[in-house]
Amino acid sequence: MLNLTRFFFIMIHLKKVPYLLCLLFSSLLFSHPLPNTVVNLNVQSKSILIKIQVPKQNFEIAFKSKIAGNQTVAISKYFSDHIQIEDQNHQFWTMEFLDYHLQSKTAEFVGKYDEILFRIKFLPNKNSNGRDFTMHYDAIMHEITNHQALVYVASDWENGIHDDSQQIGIIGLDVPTNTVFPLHISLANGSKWKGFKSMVALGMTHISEGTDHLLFLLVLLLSAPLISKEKKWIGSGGTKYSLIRILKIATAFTIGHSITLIIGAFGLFNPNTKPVEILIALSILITAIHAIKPIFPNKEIYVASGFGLIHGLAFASVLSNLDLDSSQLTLSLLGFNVGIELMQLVVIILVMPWFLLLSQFKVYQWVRIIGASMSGIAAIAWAVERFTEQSNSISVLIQNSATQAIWFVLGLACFSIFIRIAVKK
Amino acid sequence: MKILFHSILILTLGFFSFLGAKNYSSNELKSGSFNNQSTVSNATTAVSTQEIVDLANAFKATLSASQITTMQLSYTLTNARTWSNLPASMSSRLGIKMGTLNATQLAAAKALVQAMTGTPIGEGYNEVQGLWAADDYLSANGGGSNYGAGNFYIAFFGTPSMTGTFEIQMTGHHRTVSNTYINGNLVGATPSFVATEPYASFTSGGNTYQPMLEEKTALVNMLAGLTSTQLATAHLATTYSDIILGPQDDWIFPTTKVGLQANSLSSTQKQLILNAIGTYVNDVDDSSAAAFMAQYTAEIDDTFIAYAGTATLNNQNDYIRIDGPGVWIEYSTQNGIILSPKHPHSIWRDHRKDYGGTGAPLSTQNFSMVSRISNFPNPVVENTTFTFNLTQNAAVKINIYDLNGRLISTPYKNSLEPGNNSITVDLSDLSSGTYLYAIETNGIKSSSSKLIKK
Repeated sequence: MLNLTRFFFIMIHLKKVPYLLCLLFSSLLFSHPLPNTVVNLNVQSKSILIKIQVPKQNFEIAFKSKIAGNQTVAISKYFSDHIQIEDQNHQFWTMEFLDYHLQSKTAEFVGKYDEILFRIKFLPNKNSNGRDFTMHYDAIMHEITNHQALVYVASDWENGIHDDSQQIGIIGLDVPTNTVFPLHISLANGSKWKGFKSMVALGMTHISEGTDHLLFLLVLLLSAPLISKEKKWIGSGGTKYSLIRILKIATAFTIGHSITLIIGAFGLFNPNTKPVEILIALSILITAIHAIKPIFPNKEIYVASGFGLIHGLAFASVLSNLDLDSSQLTLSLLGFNVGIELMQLVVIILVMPWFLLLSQFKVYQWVRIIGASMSGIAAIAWAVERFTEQSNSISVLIQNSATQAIWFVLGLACFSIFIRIAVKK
Repeated sequence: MKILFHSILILTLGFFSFLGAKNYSSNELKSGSFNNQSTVSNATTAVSTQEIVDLANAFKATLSASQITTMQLSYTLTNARTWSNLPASMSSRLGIKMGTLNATQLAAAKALVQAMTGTPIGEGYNEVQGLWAADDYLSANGGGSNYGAGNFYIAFFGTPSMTGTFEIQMTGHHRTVSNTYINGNLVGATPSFVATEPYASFTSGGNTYQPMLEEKTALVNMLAGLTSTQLATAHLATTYSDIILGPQDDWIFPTTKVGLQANSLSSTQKQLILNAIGTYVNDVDDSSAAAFMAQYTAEIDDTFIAYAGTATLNNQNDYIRIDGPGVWIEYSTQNGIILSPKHPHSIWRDHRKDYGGTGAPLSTQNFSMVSRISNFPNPVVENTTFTFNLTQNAAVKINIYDLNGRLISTPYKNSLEPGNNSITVDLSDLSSGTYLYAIETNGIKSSSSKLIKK
């Protein structure tokens, strides 16, 4: 979401552009009045979805009426008078006002205020270039003279933009001429390959930041090298046995989450995130118990694929938040999933050799029990956090230490090598 | 409340008896809202630039070598334009932070600011003290350590001297003093930003202040002196939620003035406008203030006044503007930020003399075919966006040159219409290094800027 922090972030990157800096400063940061309008362009393959965020009070001044009840028709009329997109042949795009809703916002120097989010879709005419157009826009500023609209490209699939961080212009009154000039926008041509690559990167980032998904996988694999007998883990089954089990479990998890990722991304099934997130935490708890004492011996594959279905639902919500249109969806799904698998593979390659090595020694049972217990505690902390919607000391600790995971891997490696050298089999 | 009313009454009477800028600091005004008079010592004597230079050097002499490096900077417009209407924590200032000075240094700094600003009660240095106190009050009443007089900065742009150009800037949250001296004369005392939160009378350090009472009273009186027909002409239909020529909005004055032209007004009504202008102009030393007032008085017939919202200046979005050939004053009433009552933002600019007139060439840029050129992100990784304003139809090219001026590539070429442009191009094929870019319009190259490719 757009906020002041992001502005600072952008500004840090724009240090070398004093004029723009000034422009930005004067337009947002130096204003004590309510924030300016934010116009987010979501560039899709055959249309542009525009999301406009306006402080409610400012909109009501310009709209000359309070917002109460359903005023879709009047608001749609208002925007058709104040926003138009024109192509290079001077043809206007078709405007489709979708909806609006109220939300509460907080900004520095303003505090809490109400904002309205409007969603408008623009469709280019046949033969017109959907990536080179002129936006005629004077909403709010036709009435509030010093109000400006900050225009962003929130997403542009072909260019791999999903993070709404690219400001491309400011629309406001030109004081000397007392005119609001239109904004001509020419977007860089991207490609399907560029879009696909960015989806792979997004998949990798998502799972590397999703500590819970990785922890689930690791805890599940903790017992993979072991053989169980009479509800007890009884030592290593050897390298070949272990590798086959790791491969089967990881594949089962992948199949499981891919199924729900596809279903969710196509919008066929979009459950609430809260129960899904809680179930994910419980899935870690159950596998942690299993790693201590087998509760589903030799059925890991089914458990992995079953829990995979739940994890996939969480991945799907990432994609469905991207406002992709259907032609981009298939490639996005593929790229995103490839990214998830690649990251999983990296983690398995980094961690599993040490588990395999250690599993040949007695000390592994302690590694397994301590590891599983800690994961179980983490799982309970997450479950509580997600249920109460309030962070607790353990979940905060995990959040802060997740970035240090590489030290955990290094520690594990050193420990394994030490054991290998110090202890005779 | 009674005292406040009394003050307003006396002030109002004072304004009516006001005849010229020199008489401004009349005895009637001394019983005004400002009770803190202890530090106002040098009555109405003229301050020469030599004295400013001497005080500047005296202040500098109290500083360590590293403090001087922080405070003494070169005179560039980029430096001069760094002032803001936000606390320094939100928008960093140049120069030395007053909160870091020891008692001797601070006394020397204040002596300099006092000499730079005028002596009338409620204006000039007296007002500066009130605005420092207002920020201390904000700090103590919910604003915290980001507010307070210690968060104001002093900078010298150019070395203070009787020859050449230098600016002394004193800037913090709600006050920016920017005096530019050229060859021994105060040429520009603007942009001069004045705002206050709280607006109402408050007590800080045992003194009572209401630093912007005079400005508001004079502006309200100016409108109150108009007939209803004149008021209707002066009224602007649109809404102003802030001043339009705030920080960095330099040399973009409207080419067409709006509202009510003063040439049709009676001499009493004109005097009310001059009284209002005086509450800003008298924030500089008395002799310079008189010179500015003489100029603004001579230009009064070509001066326009306009307002939006109500004529009381009490409500959010109430707004007043005075726009003459030279003078530009805006006053805007806004919601409180730290405290809940409304608070004003206000600015005095001069069409010709902002920053000592040194930036005038910049103003012509706005009228050339292409202006406001910028580029981001820079350094560039893949895509980068060029933005610029075009005032007429033109064949436009974005050219990238190496440091020897050789054309390397033209990533965009099109014929464009007047308006703002945002052109994003893919520069991933460009090899790493430093380049220059320029916008070419009908074969004419703009000045070039640096572009770094990662």
